[in-house]
Amino acid sequence: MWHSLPKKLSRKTIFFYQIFLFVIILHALLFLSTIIFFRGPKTLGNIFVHSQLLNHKIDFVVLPYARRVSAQSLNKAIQQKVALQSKLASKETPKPKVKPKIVQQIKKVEPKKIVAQPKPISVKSKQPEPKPVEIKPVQSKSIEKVEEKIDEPIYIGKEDLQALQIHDEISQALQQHWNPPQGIQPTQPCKIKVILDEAGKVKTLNIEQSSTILSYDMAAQMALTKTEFPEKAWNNEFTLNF
Amino acid sequence: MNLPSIFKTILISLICTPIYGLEITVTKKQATAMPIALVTVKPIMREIKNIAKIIAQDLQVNNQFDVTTSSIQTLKKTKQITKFAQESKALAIFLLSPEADSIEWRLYNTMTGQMVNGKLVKREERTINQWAHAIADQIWPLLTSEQGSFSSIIVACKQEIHKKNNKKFSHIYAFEPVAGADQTKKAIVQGDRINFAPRWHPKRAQLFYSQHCPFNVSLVSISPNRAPRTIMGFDGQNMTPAVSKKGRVVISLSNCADAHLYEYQFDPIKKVGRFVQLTKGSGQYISPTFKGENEIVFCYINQRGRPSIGLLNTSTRDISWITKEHGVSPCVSPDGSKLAYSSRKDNILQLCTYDFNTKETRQVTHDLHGHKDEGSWSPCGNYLVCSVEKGAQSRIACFHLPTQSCRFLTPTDEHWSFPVWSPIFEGKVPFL
Repeated sequence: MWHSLPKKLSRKTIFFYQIFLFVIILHALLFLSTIIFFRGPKTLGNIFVHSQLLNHKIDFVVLPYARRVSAQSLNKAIQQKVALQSKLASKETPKPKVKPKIVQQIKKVEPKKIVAQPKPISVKSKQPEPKPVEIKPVQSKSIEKVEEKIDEPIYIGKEDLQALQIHDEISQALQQHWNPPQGIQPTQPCKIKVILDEAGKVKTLNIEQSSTILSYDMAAQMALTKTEFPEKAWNNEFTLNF
Repeated sequence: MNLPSIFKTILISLICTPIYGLEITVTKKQATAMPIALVTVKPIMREIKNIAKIIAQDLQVNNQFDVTTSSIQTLKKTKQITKFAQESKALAIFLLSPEADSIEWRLYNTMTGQMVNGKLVKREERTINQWAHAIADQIWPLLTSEQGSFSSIIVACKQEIHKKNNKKFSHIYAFEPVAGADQTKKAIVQGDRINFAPRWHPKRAQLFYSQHCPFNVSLVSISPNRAPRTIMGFDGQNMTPAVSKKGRVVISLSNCADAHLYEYQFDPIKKVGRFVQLTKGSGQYISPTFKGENEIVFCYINQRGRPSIGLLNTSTRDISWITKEHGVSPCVSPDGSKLAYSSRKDNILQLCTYDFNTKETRQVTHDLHGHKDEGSWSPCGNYLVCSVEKGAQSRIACFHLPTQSCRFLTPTDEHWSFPVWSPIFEGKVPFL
């Protein structure tokens, strides 16, 4: 292309044009690749949100550059956190559950300070003075590690955040009608795939994984047929874990 | 946000990849009784209404299901089934009586109108109650994936006082586990003596119990439609036999201050039976119960009178201690995975369970309304029956472990003790 340019132009100007052309081509390529990768707006059905997020006190960091974060990393992070939290919760006294807060910055929690050593009290007496017992500070390495892991936030994209909010709305709507029989605790969850029509009614309902307890599965199905789903979930497909 | 974290954020946002379908977990808000329809189909024989009533009582005994009974003329259209879905009843049980001595039950999914399961149950010399319990035992595993215990019975001792001479005596009664405290109980052992500590044979309808005699406490056996017979009358106490599923027998025999565990061994060549001592030392080894075939859980009371629970390996004779704290009345669950025992907590005996797999102890009862003693497992392993003693009164209570609910099976103004839950025997329920 630059061969067709007027020869009178200086070398400096030609170099400038060449750079300019290169940048335009690069931008065009980037633009095309983004269209190919993302294919416009995604529907709800293509987003994965882990279920146990809302039941735990987990901090999220919304990445302004990403729409979604890798499912694997998100799942791994959540599973680790849930496991650690449940371990700690069993050791600590029970506290009321708090809804997850969405934060924009990563917070670093400093390890707990160790209580200052008590000074040995000196008592004057004829008897030989007993040596003061040295209280060694407790090694808090393990605690620090756990705290670090827990306080590390989970990175989510913009669409993940949106899906989380929809997830919250759907689970709240379902909870109004979800009354499983007392004393029945299945070893595995009942997974039901639901497709809602344009009016928000259940179009198809397919049990992907049974809890192996008939009454539990049926109670879940009954809850689904009764629930009025939020508008955001209409005309969508999603899986429910009961 | 510091520099490395910014780089980390940018890196993650660049690496991000497309991901899959929305998945939601719905947490339990509250567990309630699940509504179920129980429908009798005409022509209805006389008994079917009573049977439907008993089945409904069985299914809603722990408020897990809310059963509504109704009747229809014929069952021909799917609409007759699917209409229950509109009433929030996801499941419906239909009872039909094609013949006088048989009942057909069918379990339907009301949302699709499809039959889940069904069976024809013949009466076979059973009473109406037993017939209904047999049907409930077939339906229960379909609904809950757990075994039912409706066709079993509980035996317990009722202590009374002679009006003439003010002497105590104790009879053994049998009753159903589902019916309430006002149910009529059938006496299976009567007389003027004190009968106590009954134990079931795990395979056949045979009950062992101890009886206070003038010179000792002898062991007596009773089978349905047979008179009681004394099977062991050594000096001292012959008490609490434990029989394994393969027929090994261990008993606690005592003379003077100590009580020890003995195993009965029969020599088929000499055709002579003998008792082999399993435990040594001083103290009292009582209440043996088999865990599998080679291990026995027992209660040991030391010379200071402190009871604890131990596990004896019959082949090596090694003893390991399950509880270091106070523990009495051990009872191993039918599947051998758990142990129930009573332990003193704040000066009150409370029921506790011990899991052999996880080695975790769990306190089942917490209330301060009496001492819970002599716990016994149901065949399904979901219930614990025990005596609740407060002052001069003692009642039999049944605890449902999954719902943590409690029902009393005997009235308040009587003294009941030593409840033992029977296994489920094939055919007729014994003694009732």
